[in-house]
Amino acid sequence: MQREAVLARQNVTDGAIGDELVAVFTSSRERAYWIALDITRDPDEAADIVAEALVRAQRGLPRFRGDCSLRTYLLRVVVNLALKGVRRRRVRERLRHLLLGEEHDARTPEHLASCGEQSRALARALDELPARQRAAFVLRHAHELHVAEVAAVLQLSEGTVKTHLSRAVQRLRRALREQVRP
Amino acid sequence: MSDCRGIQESIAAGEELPASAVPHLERCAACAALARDVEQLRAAARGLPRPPWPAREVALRALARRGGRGALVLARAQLGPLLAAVALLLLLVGLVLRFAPRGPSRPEPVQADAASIDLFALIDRAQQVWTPAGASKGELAWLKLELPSPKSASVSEIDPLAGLRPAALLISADERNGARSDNPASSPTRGTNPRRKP
Repeated sequence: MQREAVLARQNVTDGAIGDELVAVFTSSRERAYWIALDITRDPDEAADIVAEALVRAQRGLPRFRGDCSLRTYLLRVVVNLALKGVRRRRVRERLRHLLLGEEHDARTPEHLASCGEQSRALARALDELPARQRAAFVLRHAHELHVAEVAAVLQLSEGTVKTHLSRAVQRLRRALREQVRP
Repeated sequence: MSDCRGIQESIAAGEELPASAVPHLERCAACAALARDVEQLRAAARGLPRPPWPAREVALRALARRGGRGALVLARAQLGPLLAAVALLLLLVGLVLRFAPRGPSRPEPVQADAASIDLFALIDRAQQVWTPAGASKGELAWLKLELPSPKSASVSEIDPLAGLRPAALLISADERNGARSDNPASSPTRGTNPRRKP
């Protein structure tokens, strides 16, 4: 019932929702890719995430409750996949550190080589943030989504998003200060 | 302090601050520093690189993930250029084999000896004359005039080809020998071209 009402509010009929999703995907796929890239810092993984997101979003359409716009729904799928990727990578790195004693790979990815020193430092500092804080910061400050939209994408309350943002900023300030101080 | 907490949360969230917060910012160094840092962080975040969108790669990956025919389409799309390149190569090889000269390279054509050319030309001419068609045109009669009589000369004196030559081209054996002795360095056949003789 809610689904139909929300879809009607968005001028989308239930039958045309698949086409609408493809249209939304076409218009916002670049942004989705860059969000995935900013969260994962891996161009290959980001491309994989966007491809997977389209397939998952289409498959999940019957379960879509219509509680947000299709764009937010698509970004939600992308961000969830990116967060999952980040967490999986962290587990792998911890295991590698425990088993093989290898340190965290602190190399700057290729796509960051061309950007300014401040942005490179920020990218390195973002790596140290917990996944949700990282996603919240990227969505709000790098992609300028409103707090309400960030909350919808992350499926959190606005207050929680603000708390995540506040903690993320504190950690980033500290990390950047440490990077400046040798 | 409680003011600071709410304002700092708003600053960190990048929200517009209410007008009532402006005097606090002027008084509180910590909040002012945070505002400056957040601005810097936002600028750095906006400066994160935006590499070109890999549309084709993403489309192919999406097709592969969809399974079924998607994997087939992906394989075709990935192998397509390779197969096209192989087909083009085979076509080029085929064309080269088709139009290349067969066997070893052709030798330079040997300059045929002038005398032998004349000899063969004369033989050809004689054969033409002796055809029934040539005979009907009276050429047989013309040729007969040139033939030496077998009774008036010994067999050795008769040049077997003399009768086959047109009268103007006939040269004696002496003249031929003379031409050779004039130029002993030349090959035995060189200089015997009757056309070159005055």
